[in-house]
Amino acid sequence: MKNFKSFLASKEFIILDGAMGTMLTSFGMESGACPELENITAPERVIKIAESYAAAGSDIVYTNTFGASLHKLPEGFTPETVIPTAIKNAREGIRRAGKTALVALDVGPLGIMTEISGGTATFDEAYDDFAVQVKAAVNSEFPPDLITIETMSDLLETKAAILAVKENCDLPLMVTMTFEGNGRTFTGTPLSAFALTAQGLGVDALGINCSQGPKEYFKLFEELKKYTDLPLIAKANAGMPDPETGKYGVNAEDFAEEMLGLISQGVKIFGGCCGTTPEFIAALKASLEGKNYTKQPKVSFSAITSALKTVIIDRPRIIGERINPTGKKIFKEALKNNDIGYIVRQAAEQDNAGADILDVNVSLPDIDEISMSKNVINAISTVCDLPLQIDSSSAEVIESSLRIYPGKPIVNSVNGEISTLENILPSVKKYGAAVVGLTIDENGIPKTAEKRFEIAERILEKALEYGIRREDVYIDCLTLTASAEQENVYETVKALRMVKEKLGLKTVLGVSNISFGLPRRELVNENFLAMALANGLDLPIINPNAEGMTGAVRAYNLLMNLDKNAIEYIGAYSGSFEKKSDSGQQDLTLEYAVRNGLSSETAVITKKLLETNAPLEIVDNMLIPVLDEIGVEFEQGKIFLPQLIMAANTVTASFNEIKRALSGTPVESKGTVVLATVKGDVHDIGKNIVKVLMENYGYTVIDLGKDVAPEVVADSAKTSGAKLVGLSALMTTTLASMESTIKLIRERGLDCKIVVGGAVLTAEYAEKIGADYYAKDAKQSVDIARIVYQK
Amino acid sequence: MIEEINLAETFSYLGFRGDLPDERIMSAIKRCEGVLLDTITPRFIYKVTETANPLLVGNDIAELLADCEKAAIFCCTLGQQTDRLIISAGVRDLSEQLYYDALANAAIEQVCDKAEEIIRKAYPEYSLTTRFSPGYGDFPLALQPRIIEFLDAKKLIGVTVNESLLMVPTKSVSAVLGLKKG
Repeated sequence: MKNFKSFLASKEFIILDGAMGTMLTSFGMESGACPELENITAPERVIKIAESYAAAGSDIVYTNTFGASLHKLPEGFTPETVIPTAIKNAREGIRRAGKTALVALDVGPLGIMTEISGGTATFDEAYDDFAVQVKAAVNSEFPPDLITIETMSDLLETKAAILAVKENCDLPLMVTMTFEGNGRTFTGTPLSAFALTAQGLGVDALGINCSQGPKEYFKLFEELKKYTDLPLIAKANAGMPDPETGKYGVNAEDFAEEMLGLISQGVKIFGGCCGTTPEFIAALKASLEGKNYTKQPKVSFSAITSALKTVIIDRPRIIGERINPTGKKIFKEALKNNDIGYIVRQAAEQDNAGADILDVNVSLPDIDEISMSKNVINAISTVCDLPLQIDSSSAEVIESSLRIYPGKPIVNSVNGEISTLENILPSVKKYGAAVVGLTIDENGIPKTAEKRFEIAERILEKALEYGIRREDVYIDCLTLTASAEQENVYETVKALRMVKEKLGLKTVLGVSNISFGLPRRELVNENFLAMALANGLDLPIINPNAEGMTGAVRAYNLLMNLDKNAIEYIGAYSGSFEKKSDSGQQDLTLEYAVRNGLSSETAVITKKLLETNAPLEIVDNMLIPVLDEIGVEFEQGKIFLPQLIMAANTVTASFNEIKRALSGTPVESKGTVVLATVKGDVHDIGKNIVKVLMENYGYTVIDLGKDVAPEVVADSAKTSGAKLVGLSALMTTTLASMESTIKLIRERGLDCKIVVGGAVLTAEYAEKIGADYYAKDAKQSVDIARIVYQK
Repeated sequence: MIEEINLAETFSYLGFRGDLPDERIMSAIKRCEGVLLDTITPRFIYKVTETANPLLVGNDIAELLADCEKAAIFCCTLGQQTDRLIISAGVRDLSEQLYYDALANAAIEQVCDKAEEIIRKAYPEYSLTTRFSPGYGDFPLALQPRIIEFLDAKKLIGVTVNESLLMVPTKSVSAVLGLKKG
């Protein structure tokens, strides 16, 4: 069945089936058995269920394949063996009922989480598993009529499943995720992010299944329908199960009655999930009889999303520009050293400062931009909720980044050149992103506003041709430098206004170039920003850490009555008026500041000391003696871990000043240490504490993160030439991978010592698995580093 | 489900041996407590079964359930957003990360207590044994995936188990309780 739209149009409402598991159990499936294997071991049960649902009035019957993935099927079974039989069983049931219901291949979650949701599965692993299921179905003797993805809670996993369907067949696709009463999935994805992402990826219908009864669905659909005009699906539970009997609380009549309420929310496709039976479906069909579908109004707005946060562009929103190596020495170093932690900190800092969206540009000659971009996006998405703007001049980087992005991002950018439009717009369409169009083409940036407007029109036209929605096209009229082209500054503002007024498109502008080459750049930047905002700028690309710039946007939103009751403005600034005074700081010693966790004071004192002392002198003669003392007090039980860490954090502030003073040339290192939490383990607080303390003592730490494979540790130890490798594990189950990491390092004959630590380790066990040292805490690992590097 | 976090317990997780933290650390911990309470989404499920259940194996469990007629198997969690808060705090400030981690450990214990209370109310004619979790004694941690499956915990409260037998979200607990008549 290719034409889903006309199928939907042929009926007032579409009725799905009810629960599979509930039915299998009632037909005698043993508890603990794999439901999908019933297709093979007890086909009559499965056929009977399909027959009952078809007879009860289901227009679409789902196959018994919810868990038919490589990850979930027991050994000896594959999707290829289970899925074709399941489809055949569903068809046979419908035939016996004498009905013409359609068969939907049912695809459920893999039971593992992707990295951004706390799991270890990569996008590609999830995609491959789903692709095997889809191919097994569409290549079978009796392919399904459509595909349904259901009960999802992880947005990235859902995206992998959608792409696996769209790239391997052209069957219609319905997608439902599971939401709690608070409107979020278990992994935190809000309804809006799901709707924007799934609609962008081109699904045919979307909605909610499982988790709640129909009553609770009402509020969820009220929210969901704001973000999509696709047909909506509701497949609710019959309430919640009883802990002892497993029976669900809502009966068929009440269920059907309560589901009716969802008509007013625009639901077109109705069904039942856990606890519902053919009786429920029959009651549902009867109650829908004679009722009319409430067609949803078209929705039209500009919005983007991460897996956790939707940003609607209904007022100026700040795009943070700091994740970009251009003109940034330290950032370039970080890229070269694969120091993703540094980049993630830039993300967190901008988030804190008030950014709404983050631009991500990691292009640098001699690095693999594709894998860097993917790794950075993944790492940022794990800790920061802001949606991202993927910024690259390479179509391949854009494509591969769009693919693994959990949500709906912005692509930065295309321009008026036909070749870039044809290279990049297909990916924008395929992945449902928004796109920035620069008003420049092969002839350069036109001087006049009118000419730039023409390019904007051309970009829009081409985007619409590719099927991209008008609301998803943003135009950047390009800032010129006032010191070089003063007479053209206002042309940018004029063009921006024209685009906004005549085309009704959202506008983007990188602001700070305006002041290049001028003194007191912030004055020019802030005023230009205010001018642009007043003329219709929606998305200023700025440094959110520059208080005047972020403040200008917040003040604009306040003055234009967009920030109602000044909630955001007051939230950002109330309580920030007690400016830290400089007085009194002269009296503080570095030791006092460090011991009391006074980071900003420590920075000021360090700055002052740098006027009269060499950087290394400060480290060796001032910081390390203080740390030593604190370390001894920690060992003696006079102070505790929180105080030790507080002091360590403060020393980091001092180090940052020292680094700044050296402007890019690294502080002389005491030696290199590779740190990792071993494969399979995701506990990294202990390792992070060791890292900070080691850095405080002047060691260069290569932090490989958590869940690190033995090969990665060994490779890093080799290329860095580190004389010390630190491994951490918190669980008994991951000690084996600690052991195999040590083994691999030994096998490769690397000239390095290995120190291990973590809650479950003991000195004896450390020795048994071949480590050189056991450290009971962070302080001890520093002592060990000193021993190793003294030799 | 919980309105405040057991701070005494939190301090002990942080390594304060009986001492109270100084004012600066105390106020930081209290600030973190507020954020954590806004972040957690405590969820809990249980099933009550016969004591003869293929999941209830080992000498320790046999001892625990010796005079019991039934057993309750439960799982509770603080939710994925809690993990995310702890991880993202690590990017900004290691101290905060440590506080959140300790507070969350205290909070999940409180959620376990609540769970126990709910089971106790549902079975007033029974008394409950202590809680016993996979990985204690000879009750194998390897059973964790089957316990999660048995409870349908992924679907009902969003808890899964990874290849290292670690529960995701990490601030989750599964345990067995015996139900004894009288």
